[in-house]
Amino acid sequence: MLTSNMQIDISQLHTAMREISDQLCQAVNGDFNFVVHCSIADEEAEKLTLLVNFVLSAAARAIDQRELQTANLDKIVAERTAMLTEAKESAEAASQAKSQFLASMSHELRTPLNAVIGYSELILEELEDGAPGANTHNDLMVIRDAGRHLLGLINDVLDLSRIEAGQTDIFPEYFDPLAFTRSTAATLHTLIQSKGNVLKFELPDQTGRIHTDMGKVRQCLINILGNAAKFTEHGSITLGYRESSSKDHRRYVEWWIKDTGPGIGPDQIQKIFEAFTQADGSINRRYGGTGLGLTLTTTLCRMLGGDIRVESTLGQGSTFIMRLPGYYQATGINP
Amino acid sequence: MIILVAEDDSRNREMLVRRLLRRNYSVLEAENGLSVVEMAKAQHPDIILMDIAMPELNGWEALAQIHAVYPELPVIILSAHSMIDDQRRAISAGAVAYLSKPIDFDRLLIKIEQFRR
Ligand SMILES: Nc1ncnc2c1ncn2[C@@H]1O[C@H](COP(=O)(O)OP(=O)(O)O)[C@@H](O)[C@H]1O
Ligand SMILES: [Mg+2]
Repeated sequence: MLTSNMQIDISQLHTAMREISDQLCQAVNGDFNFVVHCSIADEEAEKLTLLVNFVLSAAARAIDQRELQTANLDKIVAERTAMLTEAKESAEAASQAKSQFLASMSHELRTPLNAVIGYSELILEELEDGAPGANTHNDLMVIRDAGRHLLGLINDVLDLSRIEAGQTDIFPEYFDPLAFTRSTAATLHTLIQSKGNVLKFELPDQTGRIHTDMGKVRQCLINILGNAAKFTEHGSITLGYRESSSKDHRRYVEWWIKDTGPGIGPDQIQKIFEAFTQADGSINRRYGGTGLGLTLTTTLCRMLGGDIRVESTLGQGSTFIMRLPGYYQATGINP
Repeated sequence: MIILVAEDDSRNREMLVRRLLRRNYSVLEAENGLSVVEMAKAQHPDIILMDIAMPELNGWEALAQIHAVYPELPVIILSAHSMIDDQRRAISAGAVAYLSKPIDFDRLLIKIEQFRR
């Protein structure tokens, strides 16, 4: 019984082993994700099958885990690379913007300086000849204007770089926005009238006090109103004030300055907020200005937690809208 | 000797023209890139003093158009852009000299005299 049984078992086991080893060939390709079957009803063969399957599944699991780790690693590497690329690109863009700013500033300083030095030398030449020209008075005015222009430029550039260096403090205080708006407009009265423009107000009858940096708001308003007065001729300028609340239920206040001037074309409307850009290259000659006013105004508005935008159609005037929180709160975030 | 002055800033153009006239040069004026090309063709100046940042056609484009017709005509670039690149670019674009503003007038006169025929 025992002997015959063993004989049968050995031949059956042989078949079982061949069966199992045939199936195991698949593992040679590194694929362990399968189950081995054995058709022989033998205890030892079944044990072997079970063990083989156990080893196979352990191997498959180990491989899966390694792949998962590699994939994770790949993902992390990809994420970090993207972050680094982004940081590098924004650093490059910033440094390009800086050198563009420097190049433009050099140009803007050298043009009036050329007039200052050139006209001074011309006057000196004429004096040395003993014949001061009939133009001397005019020439001196050119020098004075170029000098004043340089002063404006230097002040604006210094303001901007002080803000950028984080050296500008905000001094919020409570004040009545209506009285403030009227008195600020009054300082531009002469400029507005000199071009034959009328100034209209659209102010509410009464309103609560606001809390922000009055000096900075004044600087912004003077810039925007100054532009409206400078570019508009024989038209009207409307200065309005209103309160609004945003989705977050914070109280906002808005000044809007609407003029009947030349307007700004769609191709220029975003550029005018960039440093040294003027919608029309010949503006400097006709209207003066540095192209820094709106850049500075935008920066100041952001510092105060607000923003500035413009709506305009070429030939139909422009409306600049400045929006600020009614109550300034330091955020600790650099502008 | 006829000098063509191309400069869009009217005050700086007038100043340069008056200082050249005092030294008995004949002076022609252009206030943008297009008219400097036209005047170079129509009036045959001996030398051109050219600004770069000009409306219509900038100085680089004007220089190329002029040299396409008169490759030998000397052009001196006078520019308020004073980056090193501009100077290099001026020379490789075929200008005979590059002076940055504020202009050293004595140096400009020496350059001009080098091209008296
Ligand atoms: N109210 C306006 N109407 C038409 N154009 C305007 C107005 N305000 C600003 N601009 C355009 O935007 C440009 C930039 O303005 P700004 O930064 O204040 O510089 P600047 O006044 O020194 O030229 C101006 O040169 C002008 O082309
Ligand atoms: Mg301005």
